[in-house]
Amino acid sequence: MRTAFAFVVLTLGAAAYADAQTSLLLDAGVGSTSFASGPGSSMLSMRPAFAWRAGNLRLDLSGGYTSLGPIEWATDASASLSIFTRRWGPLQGELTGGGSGYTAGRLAGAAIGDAGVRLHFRSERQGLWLGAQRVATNAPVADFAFPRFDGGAWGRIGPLTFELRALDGILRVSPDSFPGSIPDTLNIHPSRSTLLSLMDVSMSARWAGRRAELAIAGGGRMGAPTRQRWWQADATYWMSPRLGLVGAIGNYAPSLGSPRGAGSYAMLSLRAAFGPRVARHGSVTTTLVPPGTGLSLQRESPALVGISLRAAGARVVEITGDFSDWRPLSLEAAGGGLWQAAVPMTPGPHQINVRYDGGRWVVPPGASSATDDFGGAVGTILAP
Amino acid sequence: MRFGSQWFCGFCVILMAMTHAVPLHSQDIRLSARLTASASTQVQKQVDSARAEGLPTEPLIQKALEGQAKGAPDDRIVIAVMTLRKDLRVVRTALGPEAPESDLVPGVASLRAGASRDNLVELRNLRRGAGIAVPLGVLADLVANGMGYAEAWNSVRELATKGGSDGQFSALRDRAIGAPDPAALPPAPSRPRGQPGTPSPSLP
Repeated sequence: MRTAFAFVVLTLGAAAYADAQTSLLLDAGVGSTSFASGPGSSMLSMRPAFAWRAGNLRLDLSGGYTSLGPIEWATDASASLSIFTRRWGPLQGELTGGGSGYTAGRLAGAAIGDAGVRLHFRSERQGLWLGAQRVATNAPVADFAFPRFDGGAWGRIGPLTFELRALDGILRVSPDSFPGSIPDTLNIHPSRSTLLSLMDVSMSARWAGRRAELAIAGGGRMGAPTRQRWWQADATYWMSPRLGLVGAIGNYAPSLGSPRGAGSYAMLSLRAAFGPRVARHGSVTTTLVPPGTGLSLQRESPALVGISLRAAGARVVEITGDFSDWRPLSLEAAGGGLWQAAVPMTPGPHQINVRYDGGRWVVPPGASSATDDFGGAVGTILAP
Repeated sequence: MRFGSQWFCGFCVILMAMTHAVPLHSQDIRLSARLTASASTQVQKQVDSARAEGLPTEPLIQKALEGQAKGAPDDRIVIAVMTLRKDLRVVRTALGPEAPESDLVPGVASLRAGASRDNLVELRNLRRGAGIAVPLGVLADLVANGMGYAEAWNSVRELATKGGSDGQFSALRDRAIGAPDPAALPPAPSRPRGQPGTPSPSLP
C-alpha cells in the first residue's frame, strides 16, 4: 500500500513539471430510458470528463449523475492512468491502472479496479495492442478478483477512426457467493464453483467532419448463456468551438452488477468544451490534443499544403515556421476541435511550431522535435 | 550632341564596372524590419560573411527570424546565427562545394544529432545522383525521437546501401517513430460516452 502510494505521488510529482495538457468536457442532457426489468422513465444527465496528458503520462477521469424519474438516480465515475514507455521501433509498452464504480440509487452499487500492462505495436495510422490486467471488483452479487486479457486493433483513414477490441476475463464463482438466487445471465453450477470465461467484444467507428462528428459502436458478450449485445450511436454538431449538441441512442446489455438488466435510452445533450488551463509550472498554456490527432499534411496544389490538427477547447491556434518567415499564421476552426489552413510550402523538410491561445510555441503533435537554440523546441515536418 | 552622347556612354561603362567590382548587398529587409538595429546589423554581417564563403544565407535569416518570433534576446539570436553558420561551414566542407543548399541544413541537424563528417561523406557517396536531404532529415528525426544514434545511423545507412528512395526513407521514419505523441494510442478500455449511469458493457 505504501509502495503504491509513493508510486502515485512520485508519478504525479514528476508530471507536474512536464508540459501538461488538460481538457474538460461537460455533457448536460435530457432523455428517456427503459429497462427490461422495470418501467421506463425520463432522465436528466450530467457527465463531466477530464483528460490530462504530460509527457508519457495519461490520466482520464469521467463521471456522471443521472436522475431517473422523481426518486431514482444513478452515479458513476471512472479513472485511468497510463504510463507509456519509450518506443522501440513500432513497439511501446504501457503500464495501466484504474478504477470505476457506480451506484444505482438505493438499489445497488459496485466498484472495479484494475492494474496491468499492455504492449502496443503501431505506426501512425494503425496499430495493435495486447494486454493483461489483474481485476478486482465488489459487484453486489459477489466479490471477484480475476485476471483479464485485452487486445485490439485500430486504424485511421482520413477523418475515420475505427477500432476493434476484446476483453477476456476468467472468473471463478461459487453459488455461495450469491446471497439470493443465481442470476440467469450466468451459467453456474448450483452446487460447486464454476470457472467462467467471459469475453466482451466490441467495435467502433468514428468520423469527424468540419463541424460534425458521428460515432457508432456495438458489441456483445461471449460465454454468457443469454443474449448480451449492445450498441450505441451518437452524433455531435459543434455550434462553436466550445459548444456542441449531442444526440445519442443505444441500449445496455445486462451485466453482473446491474440491478436493472438490459435497457435502452435516447438522449439529447449540450456538450461544453472547457480549457485550456495554465499548467502548474505556470509558463505554458497548452491544449489537450485528443487521441489520434497528430498534425496532418496534404498537398492541395503545387504551392499549397493543407495543414490540420485537433485542439479541443482552444480559442486560437497558430502555426509558424520557415515557410512563413516565422510569422504566425492562424488556423481556422473547422468544428469538432479540428483546426486547418492551406499554407504555401515547398516539398521537403520544414521547421514548424504551434501555439494555442497565445501561449508558448511548442512542437505540434506528429512532428519531430529538436532543441531550437532559444531554450525551446522546434518541430520538423516533411511536406509532401 | 555627339559629345554629350560619348560622355553618357562613358559614364555608364564606368558605373557598370564599379557595380561589378564592388557588389552591393543591401541589408535584408526582413532583418531590418523585425530585429533591433543592433541585432540586425550583427546578423547581416554573418549573412554577408556566409555569402562570401559560398554558404546559403537563407537559413541564417530564418534562424534570426525564428529567434525574433520566439522572443529571444538579441545576443542569443546572434549566437544562434553564428553557430549555424559555423555548422553550415562544417557540412559544406564535408559534402563539398557542389553539394546543393537543400542538403546543408539537414546536414546541420544530423551533425547536432551526433553524425560525424565521415557519416555525411559516406551517405553522400551512397546516394550519388540523389539528394541526401531526406535521409539526413530522417536520421535527425530518429535520434530526436529517442533512438540511439548508432541504431539510427545503421538504419539509414542500410537503406541508403539498398538504394532506398526518399519515400522509403520517410516510411522508415514512420515505422520507427510513428506519431511521437503517446496520446495517439488507442484509448484504454473505458465506458462509452453518451451512455447514462448504468454499467457499461465491460467485465464483469
